[in-house]
Amino acid sequence: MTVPAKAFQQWLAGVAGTTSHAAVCRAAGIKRSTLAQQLVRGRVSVATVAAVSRSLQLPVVDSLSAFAKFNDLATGLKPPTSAELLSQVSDTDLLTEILKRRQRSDAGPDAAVLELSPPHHRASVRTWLDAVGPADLRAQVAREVGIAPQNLSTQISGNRLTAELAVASARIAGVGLANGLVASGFLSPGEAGWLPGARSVALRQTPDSALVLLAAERLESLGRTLRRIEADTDAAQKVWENLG
Amino acid sequence: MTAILQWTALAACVICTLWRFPAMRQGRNRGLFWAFAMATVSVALSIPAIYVSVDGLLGGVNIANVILRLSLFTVFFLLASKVAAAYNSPLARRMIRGPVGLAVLILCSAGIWITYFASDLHGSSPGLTLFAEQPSVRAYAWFGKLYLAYAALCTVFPTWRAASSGRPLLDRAAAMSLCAGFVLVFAASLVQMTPWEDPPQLLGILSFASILLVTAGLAMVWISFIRRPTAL
Repeated sequence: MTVPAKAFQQWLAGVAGTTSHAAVCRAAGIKRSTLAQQLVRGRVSVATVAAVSRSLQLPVVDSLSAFAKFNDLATGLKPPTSAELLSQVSDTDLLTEILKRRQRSDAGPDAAVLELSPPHHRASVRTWLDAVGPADLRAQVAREVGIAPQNLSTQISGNRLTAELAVASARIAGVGLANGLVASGFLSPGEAGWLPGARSVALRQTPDSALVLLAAERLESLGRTLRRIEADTDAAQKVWENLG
Repeated sequence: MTAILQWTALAACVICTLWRFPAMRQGRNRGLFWAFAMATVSVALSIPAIYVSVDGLLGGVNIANVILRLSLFTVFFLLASKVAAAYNSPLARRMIRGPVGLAVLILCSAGIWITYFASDLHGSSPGLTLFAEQPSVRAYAWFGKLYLAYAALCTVFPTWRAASSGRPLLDRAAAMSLCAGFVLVFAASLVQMTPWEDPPQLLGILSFASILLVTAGLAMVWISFIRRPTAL
């Protein structure tokens, strides 16, 4: 996922003035050679833009909006829906919350609030797409961006989503444009304009029944993933057994 | 040049056999050890100097060539059934170890013996080049190639399927390399079985490349085996 080098140079001149590339790279924690290579190839990765932007204390969303591909990103921010917030709660946290509620109803109140793990959990891309989308969201996104559906599937099962795909998905689903970037781990929730603790609040406000049904869905897809992993392991094991 | 390649291949086979020896003693993958041991015999006997002296000890009637052919059959039988099991293809395993596979193996071995006794082969000759004009010697060579082509063909499909699956890159590269090696074995055997004027350069390249590819494939499997997650 890249932006044109020329646009990057213009943006950098605008935000960093005359600071040398070497200084910019040092501050952003990227290798000088990496940036040089990206500039030579004419394509600078969005990760570079984000790193430079963070090192200059600029909002990443505003920085990305300076590029044609993302020009409506900053104006398209919307607070996440509660389904989106819940999609960014990990399976473990979800199940822990259910157990805590059961214990509370059995043994009386317990004041401790569950400390949630970070939003980019093991299947956060898939859960976010499922939370925002109509059933054919993936097909629409693949068509819109012009990539093969199986390439999109590969990214999703690897829990990755390029910035372009994340923004396109959010646009099609009609949610805040930066929300998919949180699910893919590119932005922190704060950078996308999510209120601190929003996920905890959404989790607490979800009724027991909805929570249990959501957990059941998560466990089902976790089961499918595990079965695939086990089949792969068995296949590898068989090769090692016979030829190793 | 050919001699250097042959001696190098022999050294590689001896090293592999010795290396598999401890695993064989522990009872792990005995088949692979025997495949390498037989490969060592085959490669050694395809070197003229060794062939002539061994055949001299055996009476100078080219019985060493029969040993060479049969040990090659053994190599392919063992290797092909291991590969079929490794890449989880019951069909390929049946085609090698099942009734059909054994029938082809027995037919080819019987063909080797019958044509051997039907030929007049006095005086050691590596590759039987001195007797090439006898029809029974041509049939003998044909049987020798038939089984290799058959066994190689059986392993092409399972390895191809593994190479185009969603396995990790190293495992797919290993399967691809094995697959390409077996395709070349098949191609080389086919070229030798046809009555065309054999282009010797092409044959040499095919055979040597196939050995290299199969070895590289096995090496990659071993690398993947060494790097396997230990705690599961």
